[in-house]
Amino acid sequence: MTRKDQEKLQRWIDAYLDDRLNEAQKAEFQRFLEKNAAVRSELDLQSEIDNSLKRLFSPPDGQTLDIDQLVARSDEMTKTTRRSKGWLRPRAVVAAASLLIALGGGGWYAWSLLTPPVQEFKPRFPKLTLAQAYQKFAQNNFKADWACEDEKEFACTFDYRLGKGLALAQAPAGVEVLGLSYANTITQNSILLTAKADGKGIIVFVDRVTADRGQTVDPASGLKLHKRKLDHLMLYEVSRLDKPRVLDLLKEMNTPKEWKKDFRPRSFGG
Amino acid sequence: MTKHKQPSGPVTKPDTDEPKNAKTGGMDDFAAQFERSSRILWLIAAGTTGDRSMADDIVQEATVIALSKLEQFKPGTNFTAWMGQMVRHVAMNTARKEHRRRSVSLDLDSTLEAKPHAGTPDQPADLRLGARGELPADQGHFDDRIMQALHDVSDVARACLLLKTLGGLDYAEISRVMEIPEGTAMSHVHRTRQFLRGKLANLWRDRTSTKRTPS
Repeated sequence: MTRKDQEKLQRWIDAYLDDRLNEAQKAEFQRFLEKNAAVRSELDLQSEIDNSLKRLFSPPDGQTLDIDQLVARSDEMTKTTRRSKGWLRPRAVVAAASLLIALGGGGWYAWSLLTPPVQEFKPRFPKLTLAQAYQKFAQNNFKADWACEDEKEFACTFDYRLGKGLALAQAPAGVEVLGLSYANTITQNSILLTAKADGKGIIVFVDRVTADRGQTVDPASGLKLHKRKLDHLMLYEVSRLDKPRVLDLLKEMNTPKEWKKDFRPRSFGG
Repeated sequence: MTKHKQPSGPVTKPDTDEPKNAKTGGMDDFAAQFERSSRILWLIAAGTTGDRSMADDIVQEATVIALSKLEQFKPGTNFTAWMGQMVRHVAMNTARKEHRRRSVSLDLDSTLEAKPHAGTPDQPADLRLGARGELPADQGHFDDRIMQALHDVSDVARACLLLKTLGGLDYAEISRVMEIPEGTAMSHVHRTRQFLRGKLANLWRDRTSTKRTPS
């Protein structure tokens, strides 16, 4: 196949994928596909890629917009901008002077000054490592922010924040599940499940696989980390126990739409 | 405290004709317009950074900026495009900072070819699961390769692809929210699809041939 033919074929494939072919063209292309296994395979691959993108990037359902809080932050930002206006003129002079320096060889320095100021992207809560979060919860006897009322709230909490529901199996004797909390650990969206097994504290950190950065805990801290991947969620169980006691209790689930419809997330964090 | 619930279900397509200025219409009007656009904005944020975990915060940050600039919104213009511009700006700043924060080069191709199963602190760590961790499923591996390949695509192209594949927007709509010509939007989507197919071709061949071969 010549390069021209290859380009023509790609245009047909693109038009087919975009559903831009009329009925006659579609029928013609489908006849072509029946005879050409390689192109059929390419379309199957594209379909698998599309499915993968949907798994990886499907937007979360039912986010809330806390307009009051956002307005307050916006007002604060406006005040800060007004306060800084008095600096505009001197800064312009400095920028112009820097441009002259740039002409003399200080290009990078001038560029950095002239770049529009980047608004600071502040996390809502201080970031903690897994070990730091464990120590923090240990000081409070692993008390959770809240205990879910039912499996519906449990599943929806994970679905809402991480895009996938989770179910919790009945805990065996010796294991007590205490509840859920939010904390800025793996990401700001991490959900922590606290539990105790034989009186020892356990935290299971749950976040998306795509957020995984190979988190570890310092062996010197005496903490053990056990990981488990569930679909697109990654679970990290941290405790002083040699074996995980809670990881296997968690199962992924497709949260029913009717559950999500009335779900209101708890507002905690820290 | 007023909380506004965003609609669930299929992605809402952006409105092209906004009835009135969000400022004059008040916060409820802003919230209503935001609700209609939120999923598209989320996809722009996720596409621009290539990282869904940052998208929520980027959209929120852009919303704060939008609220402080409401008087600049021109009635009758596209609210989603106006907000999308701010989402892209915040997302690009965030991605730039994230890039600076990471000192390790993201030369994913060479990493993959040289060490197909060696994770680094910046690579998805499915390959470092401990004895108790489940081995990455075939599907998980495929998803990880997609993520890696997407890092080699420009932020605009990634966003266009997500808006097409997940947002269900046509090229005219992508053109409006991304503020690029329609032909460019189409070209980004087609080239990115081809690029991903090229990157995944070997894995796909192995996978399909394994499925056909009886064990």
